[in-house]
Amino acid sequence: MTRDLYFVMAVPLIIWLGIFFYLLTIDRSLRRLERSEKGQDDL
Amino acid sequence: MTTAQTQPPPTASPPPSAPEPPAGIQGAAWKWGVGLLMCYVIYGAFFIARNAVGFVGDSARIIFFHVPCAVLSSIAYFVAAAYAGLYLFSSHPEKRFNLELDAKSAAAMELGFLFCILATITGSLFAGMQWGTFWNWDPREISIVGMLLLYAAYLVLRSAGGEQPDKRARLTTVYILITLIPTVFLVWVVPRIQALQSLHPTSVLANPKNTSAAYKEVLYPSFLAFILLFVWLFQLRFRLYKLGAKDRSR
Repeated sequence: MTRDLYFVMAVPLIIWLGIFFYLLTIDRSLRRLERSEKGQDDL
Repeated sequence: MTTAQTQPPPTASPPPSAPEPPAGIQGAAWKWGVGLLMCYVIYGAFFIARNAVGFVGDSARIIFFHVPCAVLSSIAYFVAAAYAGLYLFSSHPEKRFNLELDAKSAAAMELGFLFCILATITGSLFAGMQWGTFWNWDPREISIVGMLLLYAAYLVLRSAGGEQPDKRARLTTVYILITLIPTVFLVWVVPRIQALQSLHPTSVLANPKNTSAAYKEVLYPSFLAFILLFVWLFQLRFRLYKLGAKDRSR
């Protein structure tokens, strides 16, 4: 019974981890864009 | 497992005073905190909380995901309204309003719509399990449909606002402030009308005595996790807007 529940829990956990790392990559690429924008403003 | 182990300290929340350039790992630390906290909530929802009295099977565990979404969907409206009000009272040196405030208000509205949809779907699943039908026009269900319509109408209005950012901002901020009246009505009044006899267990949650310590151990971190997630998404949306705005001015 408890073993089954671990499998059920794995479903939302994996979905969340997928969304979480996707958000982190978006965050990182945004930061890179912001940095390059800043560089262009200085020129 | 105790909350103290997995829950990051509250000080890990967004540092507003952090300078922008060196925000490499420090800036991302609280985001990792959100990730871990949500993992803890998912674990706790299954293995810390137990079946609750008066709920069919495991249906009570929805509380850790549905309630924060529902609360956020109304908080978002008030955040958007606060920025809308600030926008209308803002003034720039050259007699123009501060469009960044309008962008923040729009970001809150978009996220509010998202969480409103999530709360509706999860609530409907709960209704299907607890009351035997996925939709039974419970007062809470009536009010969330109203919220969905208010959000959707906002997004339609905004996309129809066209190419003039100032005009669009004025139109949409005024819309938010006017619809704040029905929003207050939908969030606090409609679900409490006695004649409609809500089945929704709001009153169960309103009294802290009704939730066990194990539930609180998961519920409070879940609220924190969802609120921080909202802040993160909000920041991402706003930064995206700022990059776009720079593009247009060039």
